[in-house]
Amino acid sequence: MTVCKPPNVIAVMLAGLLVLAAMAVPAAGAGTTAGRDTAPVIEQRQQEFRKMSAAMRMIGHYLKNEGANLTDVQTAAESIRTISRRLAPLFPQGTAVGVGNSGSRLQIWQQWDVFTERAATLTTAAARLAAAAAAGDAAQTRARVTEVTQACGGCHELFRKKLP
Amino acid sequence: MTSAGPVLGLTLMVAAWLAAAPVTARPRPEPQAERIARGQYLFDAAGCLGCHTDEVRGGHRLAGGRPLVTAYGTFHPPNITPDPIYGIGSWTDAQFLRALRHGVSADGSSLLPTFPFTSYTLMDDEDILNLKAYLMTQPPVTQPNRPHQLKDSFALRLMMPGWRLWFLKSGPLATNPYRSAQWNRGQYVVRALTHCAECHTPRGWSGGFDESRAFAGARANPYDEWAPNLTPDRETGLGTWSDADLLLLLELGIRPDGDVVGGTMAEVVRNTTSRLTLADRRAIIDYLRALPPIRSLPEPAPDP
Repeated sequence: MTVCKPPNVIAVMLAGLLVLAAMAVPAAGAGTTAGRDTAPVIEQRQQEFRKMSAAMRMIGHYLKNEGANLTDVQTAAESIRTISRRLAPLFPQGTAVGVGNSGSRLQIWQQWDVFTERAATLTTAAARLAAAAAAGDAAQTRARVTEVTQACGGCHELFRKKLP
Repeated sequence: MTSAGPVLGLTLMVAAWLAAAPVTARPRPEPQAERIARGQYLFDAAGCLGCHTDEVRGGHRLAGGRPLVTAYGTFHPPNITPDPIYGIGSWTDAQFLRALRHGVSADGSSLLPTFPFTSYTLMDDEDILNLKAYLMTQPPVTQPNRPHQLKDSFALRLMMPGWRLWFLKSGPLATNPYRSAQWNRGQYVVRALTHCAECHTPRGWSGGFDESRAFAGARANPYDEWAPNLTPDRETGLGTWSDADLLLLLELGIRPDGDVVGGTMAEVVRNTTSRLTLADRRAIIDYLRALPPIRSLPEPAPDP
């Protein structure tokens, strides 16, 4: 029976490492960046927001009759939905206004639950917009765009400092 | 007697038709209901909700707004519900008119220009009273007002009568007969109702508007952010924006570059410009297009 012992020890150690890793992942979302370079994560999230702006620009083209169609809106909405789901971990503590070229207000971390809730609202709104566009329903699409822009604006109003 | 038959028959037919016809004519709305509906539109256009409700902290509607931090101190927008003690429930029409037209409260004390009476003074009497009619239909909230925390409250209040005398250009706004009806409506909406100048026009040494740079952009707003240049300057203003770009911004807050507005303007779009009629949004654009173009780059943020 003792033949099973060495593999069990390894399994326990591996499990311990996995538990530690799992604990580290959520901590990264609202954790700290002590001892780490903050520039890459600020740049990474700004890139994600630039992608969302490009998607929103496409939706704007559709609303202004500037050549975009409902398929473009669907693609743009799916892009916004995908990005909105991976935003929270890109906001570690210690990356607020004053650090590098960050435009993130301290309120993000002071009201972390509100921040993540609003990101989730955007995910839902973008999914609904994608569905309306996929169904070819122009009236519903317009209504769903309003939900998306209110989600964007609701977050920007509280949490973003507009940089020149 | 021979002519009575057809007349009687026709009368009976008309009576029968009237009896059978569905009642489609609705009673004319009461004038008071019309005033309240008009007042609700003015309430949205004037952006009362944003300042007088602490939306972020879940405050009661119109019972007092979030603190406004300025160079003169911190202001706490008051309760404007019809509560007779803490709100405006006991205000007469004349007192309400005086507050918006001349910046004087019901008790005779001076209102400070954080309350934008410098813009509301341009509203006409009927609109001011329609706004009051709407406010009086809102649920009263018995919530005391928080006192302002000003750097020198006594001096500020003392100098306000003189300031009003020298710098307040009391309304109502005069119609410009040389301009179109749409331009005049745009001027009224922009200057009197939506009070765009409060954020977008820089202020002079007195704290009043610098009219030589009207709508050229300014930093003095509650979020200490640059409120952009709204003049038609092509490099630094709205000169390259199409009408469709401007309409989309006013309705949904989407800028041509795909950004969605934040800060104070997010609140303005949500509570005000998205609720305006298309005709009023077009009138705003007409008015802004006719402003003299002014080159104006964002001022750097002051040192913390």
